[in-house]
Amino acid sequence: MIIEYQRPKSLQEALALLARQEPPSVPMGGGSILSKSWQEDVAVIDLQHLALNTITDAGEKFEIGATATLAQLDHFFADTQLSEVIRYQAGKNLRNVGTLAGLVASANGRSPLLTLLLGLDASLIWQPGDMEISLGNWLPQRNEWRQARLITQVNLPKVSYRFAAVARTPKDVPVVAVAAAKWSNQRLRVAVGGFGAVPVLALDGKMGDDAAKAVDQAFAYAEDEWAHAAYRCQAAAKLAARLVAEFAGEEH
Amino acid sequence: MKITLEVNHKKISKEIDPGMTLLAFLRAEGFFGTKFGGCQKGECGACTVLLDGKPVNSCSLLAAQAEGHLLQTIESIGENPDQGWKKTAGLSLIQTP
Repeated sequence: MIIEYQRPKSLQEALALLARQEPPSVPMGGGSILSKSWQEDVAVIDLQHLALNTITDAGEKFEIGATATLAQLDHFFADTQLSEVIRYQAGKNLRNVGTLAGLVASANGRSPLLTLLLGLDASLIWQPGDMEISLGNWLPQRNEWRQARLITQVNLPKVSYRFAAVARTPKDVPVVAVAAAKWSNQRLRVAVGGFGAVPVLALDGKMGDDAAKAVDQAFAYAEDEWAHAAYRCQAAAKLAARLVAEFAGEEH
Repeated sequence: MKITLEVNHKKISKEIDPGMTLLAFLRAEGFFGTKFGGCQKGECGACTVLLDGKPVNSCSLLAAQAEGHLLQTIESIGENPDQGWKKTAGLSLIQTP
């Protein structure tokens, strides 16, 4: 259960609170996850006074503060597919409080937005030390990540991207999600979601690589109560082929 | 811990557990228009209130998080629809996000 609530006024104060051994302390963005019941006693460190909610166009990338809400992102990226994915990810009420770093730290493999961020090769800036780690490198070890560190920024490269998903209903969480991103140097990256604890990177190669085969392999064991692995493989392969074909169509 | 929340332009100070949700706080203070019997997971919107004018799920926020923000429940905006819900993003008694 939550036994302590703190609202630090500076990053240094927040890091000092997170570094405590007792009680175990966890950073809180919007609170939509942390406000739920806990098995263990924890202190929550509310980041709302740290002014980490800015979104900046920094040339070749977007620099997004960790506590920028999904509603802010939706507004900033209005009329793009990223905005559609944000709206797919969360309803209006949750968008108003849910933060980007909170989503990165807690969303599971069925998250459309986390799948897209992985496809886009988003990176995370950690404090202390201004350490930059790619989302793809961090996600597999998310549960083992030690305390006393804080995501303060998420960087999104400016690249062409596509997203497609299959779900039971248009608003349901996906059972298959595919995000593809293409760089100007023909780098191609494909991430798949709709299954498991976190989305999976299926391909980081170049245009012309077999994306359909890569996602087919990524979903080889993706069997759960929502869909068979064979279904996921087939659906994802078709979606990936379609997205890559759209990139190819852009060039002509 | 002691918090002071501004609910419907009225300040309420109270000693609470740090883990108390905003929904539990409002219900304890008699704002029964904020519904308790919803999903409790932030999905159904039955517990919607306005936080600084924006709809949020009160079951998914800690009461302490709302300190320093203006809260409006259905009791407030229902009394003055021309100043209230007609000018908001569309709060209704039960709102599916």
